[in-house]
Amino acid sequence: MAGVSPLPSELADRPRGPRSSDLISAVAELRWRLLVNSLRTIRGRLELVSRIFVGFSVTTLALGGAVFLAPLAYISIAQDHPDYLAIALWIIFAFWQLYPVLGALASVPFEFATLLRFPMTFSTFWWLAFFYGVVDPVCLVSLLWLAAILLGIGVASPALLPGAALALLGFALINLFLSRAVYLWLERWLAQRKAREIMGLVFLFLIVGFQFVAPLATRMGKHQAGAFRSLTSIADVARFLPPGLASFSLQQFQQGKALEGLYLCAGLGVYAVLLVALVNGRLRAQFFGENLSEAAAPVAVRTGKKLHESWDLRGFSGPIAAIFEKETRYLLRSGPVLFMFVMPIVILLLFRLNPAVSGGGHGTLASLPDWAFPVGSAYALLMLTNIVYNSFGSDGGGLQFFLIAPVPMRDVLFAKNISHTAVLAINTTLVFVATSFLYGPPRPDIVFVTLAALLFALPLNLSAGNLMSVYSPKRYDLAAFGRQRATSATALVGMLVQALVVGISFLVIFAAHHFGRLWLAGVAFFPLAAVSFLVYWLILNKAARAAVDRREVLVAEICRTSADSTASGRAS
Amino acid sequence: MPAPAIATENLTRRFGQLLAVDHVNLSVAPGQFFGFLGPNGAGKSTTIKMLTGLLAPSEGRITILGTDLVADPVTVKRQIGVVPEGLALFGRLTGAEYLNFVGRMYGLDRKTAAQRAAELLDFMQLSDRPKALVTDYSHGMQKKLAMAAAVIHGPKILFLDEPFEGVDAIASGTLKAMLQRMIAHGATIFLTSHVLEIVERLCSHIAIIHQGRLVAQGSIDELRSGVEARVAGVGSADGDAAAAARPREKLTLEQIFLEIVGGARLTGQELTWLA
Repeated sequence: MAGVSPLPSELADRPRGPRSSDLISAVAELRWRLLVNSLRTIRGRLELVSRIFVGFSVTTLALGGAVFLAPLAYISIAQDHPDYLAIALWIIFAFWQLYPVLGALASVPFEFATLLRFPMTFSTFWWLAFFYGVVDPVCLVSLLWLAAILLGIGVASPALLPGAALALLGFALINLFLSRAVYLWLERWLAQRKAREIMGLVFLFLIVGFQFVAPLATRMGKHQAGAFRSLTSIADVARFLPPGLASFSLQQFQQGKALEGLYLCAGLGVYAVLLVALVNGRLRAQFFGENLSEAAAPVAVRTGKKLHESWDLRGFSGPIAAIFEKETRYLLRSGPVLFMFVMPIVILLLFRLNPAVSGGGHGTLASLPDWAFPVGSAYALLMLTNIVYNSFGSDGGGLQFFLIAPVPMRDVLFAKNISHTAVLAINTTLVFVATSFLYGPPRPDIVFVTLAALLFALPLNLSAGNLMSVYSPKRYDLAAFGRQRATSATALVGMLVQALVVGISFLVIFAAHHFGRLWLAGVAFFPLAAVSFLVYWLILNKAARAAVDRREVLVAEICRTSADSTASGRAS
Repeated sequence: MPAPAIATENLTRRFGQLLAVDHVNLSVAPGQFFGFLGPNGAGKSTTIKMLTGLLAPSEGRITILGTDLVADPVTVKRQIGVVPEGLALFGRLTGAEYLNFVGRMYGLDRKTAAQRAAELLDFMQLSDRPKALVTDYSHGMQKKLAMAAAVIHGPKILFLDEPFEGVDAIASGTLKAMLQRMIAHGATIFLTSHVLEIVERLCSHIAIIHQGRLVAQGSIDELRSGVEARVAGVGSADGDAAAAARPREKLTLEQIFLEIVGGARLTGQELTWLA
């Protein structure tokens, strides 16, 4: 028989499934092959280069952290201040638990349960999941840091070593199982689109929320006594959480209270057992099969039948109105995109609260309130470029419809640009309202100049955006928050266009300011806007022709299945 | 003789060195239910993509209902409906929103588009979850929606790339009923499928493409006669006159297909370790 070699008889005759070690090495080999195969493309090679840089940074972070933590542990024990270690343990805890969560939200999760098609026992599956967590770089870095702490403690006080080892081992196990539990539950939630989108949105709001910590803390600083009381009560609660328990047990061991130290280690053990049970439950659910399908069964009963009529966009043809409606619905149903539109207001609020520049209680823009509306509007335009420069990105398989429909591609691009313009108009209005509320109503001449500048800047951005959408497309998943960057070429062109717009606008405004009449800048922007619009009109035709000529490239990039991106994304 | 609904002259497509479609000359008469068959990688999807404007030919000419596709794509596209390989759905719309969108893109007014969308959703049994997004539909539901979208404007020609793949028996029955109704009303249907039983039951005419070349074209009876004559000829040449003269059972489309593309011969390989 050609091409197929017979299996070794001992394997063929084996009555039970393969050994755990066979499966673990098979999974390791699979990941290695995925990495090697990903290097066949330039994109894959670039990804590897970037990962080498990331790997270098992680190694530096790991070694740097270890070099810092070992002496810290030594000093803490030598100077009889084991409570210092609580801070280090909290930092390690936060790093170990939060970093993987951010990673999971920012990338396509590896579907661990897909391995279940192979013949494996529950214990094999369990150990695979465990090792998958242990070999995570974050886990390895954290373990190295804990080892450094243990080394520092051991050098400072060898007698403390057994107790410290026990406490840190308990702490490490808790972290390991907690991170696995978090990962497995995240995998469970992120398997469903709606949950994924909600989680992503919560995550983004958290990130924005962090931006407000510094300004709010500064404000709280004025009421120091209250703030101190709050912090003390937080510390009381934190003592019963894993990092607190571990550091407290270290203190007990150092004070010679071995029994109390052991009790606290037992507390760590209870945490670990609970977490193992949690991991176990999740893995068991996966192992015995759970249905995470989002395709719900049809509902048998219907209540009332209502005709759904599409939108009417006066003055525009049916297809343009249809595309406008489709684009608007897409934007309204995308958390990340909606979030993007809230950002200019967030920025205005941040500048209002940020004391960094002006000192005292006034914000950066509070000292220059005239700039708030132009800055907010410019930021709104900048945010809009994310979709303008890759306007087919979120169409997915639907892109093919634009190519088979009896509608010229010019109309498709134009309709998309109308929706972009509408979004900017709404966002600028929101910025105006926010500016008025936060900084007081902007001066009429400032509003006039800003709107005139937008009239000049928008068509230029739409022109460049249409070209880049066709020449450098990239699939964009509206349900995912990570890996949504445009191509490097798009980013570069976008930057150049912004530099051009800002340069010209600066010259115009500077000249008007020189004559002491700012409104003149607004007037000067009108002929520039006319030129910009002419450029737009000419480029629209060119981009439409290019879209038809490059339809294969567009379809190949935008209509890729998520499996393609999963394979390439997770390969390395 | 009426002008063909679909005609190609020397239709060719190259991908670098690979000649995916090699000077194909097709002719499909109006009102035919036409099956376009071929093994994996033979050039079926490439051909259907070129016929629907998704892919530019490297050489050759495509005429749809008398209009040159390359010269006047919009006129052609207005008269055809397509269910492409990737279904071409917008996942973030509901079924009704998507059908309305498609209707308007084909020039229907808002009211007509809405009425037809509702009728199609009912016919396809997709109206039970009006708020569900297409991305949350099952594969079979997405296929039915794509089919509904392809017919909402009443096309004269329908191009279907593997319409029955991944569709359950109930949905398949619904789709077949709709297609037969369209044929009864004079539409032309051009479909590719690997399910030869369905093709045999539905199609009146067949073309077979193999390694980019059109190797057979005609009605199923014509192809059957050709294959039977060839087999009989081989039998006579081998001196087996009795075998050649023996009355045969009617060849199925699968047998015809395998005989034409040369897949009927066994490789002689055996997987000895399989029980």
